[in-house]
Amino acid sequence: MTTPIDDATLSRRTLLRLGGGAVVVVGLGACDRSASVGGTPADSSPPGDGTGAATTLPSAGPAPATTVPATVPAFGGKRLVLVQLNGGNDLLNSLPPTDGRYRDLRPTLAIPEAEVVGLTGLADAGLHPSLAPLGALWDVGGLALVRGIGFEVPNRSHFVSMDRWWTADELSAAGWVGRVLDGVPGRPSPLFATALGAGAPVLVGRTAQPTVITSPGSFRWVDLQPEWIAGLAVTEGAGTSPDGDLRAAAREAFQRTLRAVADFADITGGSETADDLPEREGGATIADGLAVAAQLLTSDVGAQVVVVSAGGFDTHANQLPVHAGLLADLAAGLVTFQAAIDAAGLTDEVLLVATSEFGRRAGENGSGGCDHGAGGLALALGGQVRGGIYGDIDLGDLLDGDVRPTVAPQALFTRCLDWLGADAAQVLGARDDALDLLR
Amino acid sequence: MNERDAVAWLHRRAGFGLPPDELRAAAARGPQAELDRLLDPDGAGAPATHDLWDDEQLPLDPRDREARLHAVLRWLELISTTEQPLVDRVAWLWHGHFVSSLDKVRVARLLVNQVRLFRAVGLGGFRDLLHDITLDPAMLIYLDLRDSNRIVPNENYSRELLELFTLGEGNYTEADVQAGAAALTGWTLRRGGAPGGGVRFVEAAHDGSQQTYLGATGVHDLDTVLDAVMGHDAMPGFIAATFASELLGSTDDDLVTALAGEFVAAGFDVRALVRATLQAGLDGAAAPLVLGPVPWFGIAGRVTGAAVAPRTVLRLLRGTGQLPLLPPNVAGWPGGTAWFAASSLVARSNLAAALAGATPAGEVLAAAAGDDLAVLADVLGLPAEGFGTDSSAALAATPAGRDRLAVALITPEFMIA
Repeated sequence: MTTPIDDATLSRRTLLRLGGGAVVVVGLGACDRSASVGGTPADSSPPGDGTGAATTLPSAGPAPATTVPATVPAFGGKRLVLVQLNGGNDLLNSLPPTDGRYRDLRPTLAIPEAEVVGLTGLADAGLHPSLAPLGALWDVGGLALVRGIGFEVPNRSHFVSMDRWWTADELSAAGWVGRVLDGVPGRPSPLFATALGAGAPVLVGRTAQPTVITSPGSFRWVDLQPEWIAGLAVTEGAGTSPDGDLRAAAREAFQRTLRAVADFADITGGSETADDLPEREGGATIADGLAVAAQLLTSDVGAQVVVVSAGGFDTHANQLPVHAGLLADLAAGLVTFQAAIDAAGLTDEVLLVATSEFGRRAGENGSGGCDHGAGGLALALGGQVRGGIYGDIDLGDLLDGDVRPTVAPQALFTRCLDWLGADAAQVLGARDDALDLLR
Repeated sequence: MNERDAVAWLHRRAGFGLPPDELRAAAARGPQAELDRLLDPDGAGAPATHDLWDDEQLPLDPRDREARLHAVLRWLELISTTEQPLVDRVAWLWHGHFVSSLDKVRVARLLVNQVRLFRAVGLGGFRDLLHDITLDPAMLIYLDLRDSNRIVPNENYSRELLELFTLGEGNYTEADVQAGAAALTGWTLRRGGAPGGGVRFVEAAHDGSQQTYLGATGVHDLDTVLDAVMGHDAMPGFIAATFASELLGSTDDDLVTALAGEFVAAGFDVRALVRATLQAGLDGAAAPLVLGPVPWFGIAGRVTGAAVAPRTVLRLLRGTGQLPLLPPNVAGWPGGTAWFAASSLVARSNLAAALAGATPAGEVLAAAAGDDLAVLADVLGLPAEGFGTDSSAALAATPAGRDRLAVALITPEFMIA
């Protein structure tokens, strides 16, 4: 499936509005609207003045013009950041419910009630203590939490599930963002669509390829002149040998890489690759990736879609300390990211969405962990996000021992595509308007 | 392919390349003799014994970072110097298949012992390999089988055994995963899981109830699980496809079916499968294959004789996205054009420059300093057609000597075997 984005499509960004004014949170539960009556910000709006909060999100007026990048070619200036928490992030401990069955299901792993961080206006759940820094983002109404997100008929394989997320459940199709990138006219900046931490199949279209930067701190030539590399990037005649396709791919990759390295020269985020071994599965931390993402979006390099990937969430064993560290990394990364976006005056231009391929089993296993589950957690962050809780879960109605999914990922994808001004019905085959989480 | 090219191909795909003088000697023996020699390096079919790890530098302390460095660096050194290249190439393949990772296992010795297992029995019977890897201490930790018990079984190993190790997704059900998890309970590590304690079976932790698993009834323990897996129709094709993809760069269905047939006929002997796979490659079934950073580094290091400072190797290979013993997740490394990701290419290019800078005086450096690119291609072990027009122009435009050698190592011709 392809999704050409013509000028007409780009002009139909009906959901986007400038300058939100006062914060009014009107989040509704995605699938079960009674959920939002039972103690969501819908009936108890969080404070909108951001008093005491370390963030200015969401913005209340025109953005300062000074630092907005000048070379934004598409999507009406909107930027999208996808954070992939690979391995299957545990919904229940990320957002511990007050439902007593949670503690029955997790006799050793439940977050102690006293440690759960309360959220203003949210009565039936709170935050994992490591996510406490997100409270400030919640209080200003810029953080949406989606619980129970997942495919109605789940697959508990990491790799099948990730594929389904990347392709909007059309396995073997292009990534659902890649389908949009295919239609972007002209030749966008090499950093236009960038994957940090690992490759990002969600950005791979039929023709579109993201620039993949797993080690941002070392993304430069050492003891090599770019003009020598340029010789390898010549593409004429590559198709004549039997392995022409792969050789052509290598030459195109060198060409893209040369431009990306040149454009990346001003980005200083990310630690230099250490001459040591990584301690985390996949190596990258979320905070590092988000720091580079913020730099990309606030620098004049034309970056508009960034995927940050981090692994380690597959907590089959020893979950308590491992998950606490991962969530602390996530929270720190999100807070710093949003501060950087706010400081650049891009509050209303950036939407960040974090997802994981599935949640974990409702009950714990014998290893101090939880096996692969179904319904999971997504969060959305940005000046145009309607903060609040979305979706509902019922621990009395499990699906083969898992949290039953109640919000389809396509509902989240629909909003992201709306954000980019793309035609969600065309990209996804059908819209899913269950998540009204954008202003 | 002429005989020299066939031999060079064998060593680039099934080994880690050869320096020019050794390639000439191998070419003189001819491809069939070389295939025999690769499959049975000491003429006795004996498993590999010699390795470069020093157990004294691998204390059983999960906090020991130096031990982890030792484990990774000595494996890289082994890859660049091994006299049993196919044994080590297949061990590398198994490492990317039966994945375990230092970031979870922590104790470097256990990972090293797992690689030793692949080197020792990686070319033997597949059932034995499956049995041994299931009870391998690093695997027991990595996929949590050591903590699985009859009250609350842990599905991690049971799932990946079927999805990634033997059958592939779509060939089993969730009920199979749960039945397998129950039947595999009871295996754990001694001394409460303290490293180095060895493996033991705790009857009290084992769920011995009769399970229906992969269509077989009465499955209740490791042996009956392995029987069911080995008897499953999808297994031979799944393993054959792994070798066809890794060694031949091919996903051709007919080829995989033929190789699976050979695997079955040989009683699931891995050596027979590897032989059939490579023979098919010599007979023209091979497709181009992007060399992953580690095999590429092994080949480049062997061909040039370069000795790059260990910390530099570590930093740059980390940048490429491929450090031995640290796969990104349980599925191992993505292959193919994933290695053309921008930062991976940059790190590989910088590593090529480091290799070129550390290449000792000799045939390779002389060729890089000379004018004849055909000679450079030859000493680097490339096929007789040498560098294509585009790469030749790029090399001609690069200063002769180390700079040109660096660029030669990242030409598509050298990175794609």
